[in-house]
Amino acid sequence: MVRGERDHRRWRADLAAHLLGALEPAEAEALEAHIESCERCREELRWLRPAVDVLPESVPPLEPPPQLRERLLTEVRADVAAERPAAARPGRPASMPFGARLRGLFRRPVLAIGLTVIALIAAVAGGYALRGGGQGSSTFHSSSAGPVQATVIRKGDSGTMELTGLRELPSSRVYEAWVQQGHRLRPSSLFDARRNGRASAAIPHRLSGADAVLVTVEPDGGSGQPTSKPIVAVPLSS
Amino acid sequence: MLAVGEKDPEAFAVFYDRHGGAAYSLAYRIVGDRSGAEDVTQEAFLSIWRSGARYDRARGSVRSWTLGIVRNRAIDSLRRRAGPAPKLDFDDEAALEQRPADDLTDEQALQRESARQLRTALDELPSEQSKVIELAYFGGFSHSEIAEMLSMPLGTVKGRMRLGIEKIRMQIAEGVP
Repeated sequence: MVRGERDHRRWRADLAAHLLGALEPAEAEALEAHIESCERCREELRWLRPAVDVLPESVPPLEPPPQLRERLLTEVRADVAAERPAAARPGRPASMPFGARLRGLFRRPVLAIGLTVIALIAAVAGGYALRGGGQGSSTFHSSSAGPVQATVIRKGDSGTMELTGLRELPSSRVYEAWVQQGHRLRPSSLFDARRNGRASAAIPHRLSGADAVLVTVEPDGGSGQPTSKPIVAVPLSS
Repeated sequence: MLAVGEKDPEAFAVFYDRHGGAAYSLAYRIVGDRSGAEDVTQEAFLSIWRSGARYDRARGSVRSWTLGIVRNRAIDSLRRRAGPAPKLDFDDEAALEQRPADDLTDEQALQRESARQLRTALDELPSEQSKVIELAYFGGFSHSEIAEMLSMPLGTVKGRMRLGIEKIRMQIAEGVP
């Protein structure tokens, strides 16, 4: 038996274990170095690989929770918004501080009225909150009778929001959630409505001490400050 | 896939819709609980998104590549927990049967049937071969750990892996499932 054949047979025995991820790191590294120079091993690896690729397909399918999809999409949209140059966002200069943007917001009559109404709602809506939804969590419902209804489930500083009655938006627009504390509005997650008018959104931060969660329609990629009137508000008073 | 690499959220949503179910199911099979499976699936998809989706066509289909990432994340999660060894023979079918039939879409029903056929193909392997394959792939054990666990020579473990994988490969070549 020539040396090359002996070498090949020695390494060949490891190919299945390698595909199964069962070799120790040093062994895997040595095998990969051999494969670089051994066409027969490469061919065998190509032949065997589909047998390992089907293993995950042998698992009975389970339906992932819809909140998982929403959380992922919230994260990726937040990444895109963060990477987008601030100057490219419509409606405000890149270097404008948050307080000035907020003052600018309140100079717009329609928005000012809307937010004042919401602040009043938040102030008088004590007792509307319902306790429940699991250990350490509180559930709050939107207070208006409009077509869009929302429920926020808060746990600690974060929470999730479920909405109904939403319309599907064109691709150039997106729903954006905001956390209101006093006169301060902080942007939260971006989300789309499903065809049935429902949506779920994560509110990952800053719910402790917040007065309300609002939702507006914004340009795709989201905004640093609201550019339209809120379509729904959920007071967080308890 | 190209669009995912170009950071297009809509393309990412389509990508998730295609492979998220299989990813979650695989993660659940490995870590054994729904909360852990959610975390693993989320970590895996975000790593794909944030790494710019370095998909290498030579390593197989997009789906296999994705599920390989999920599998690695799930095994890492198991090791981080450093808890009891993963369950090797919990009854996936029984867990699935507990769900009402109308929870399944047509596509899921087909997937389920396909999974069942593959499961049958795996079940037809001699148990000593399927055991080492499951310990390695779903349990994340190395061949030397398996040899110690089953008190058998390392060469025997490698040989059984090889025989089992070759049999599955032949069944695929013959059109099963």
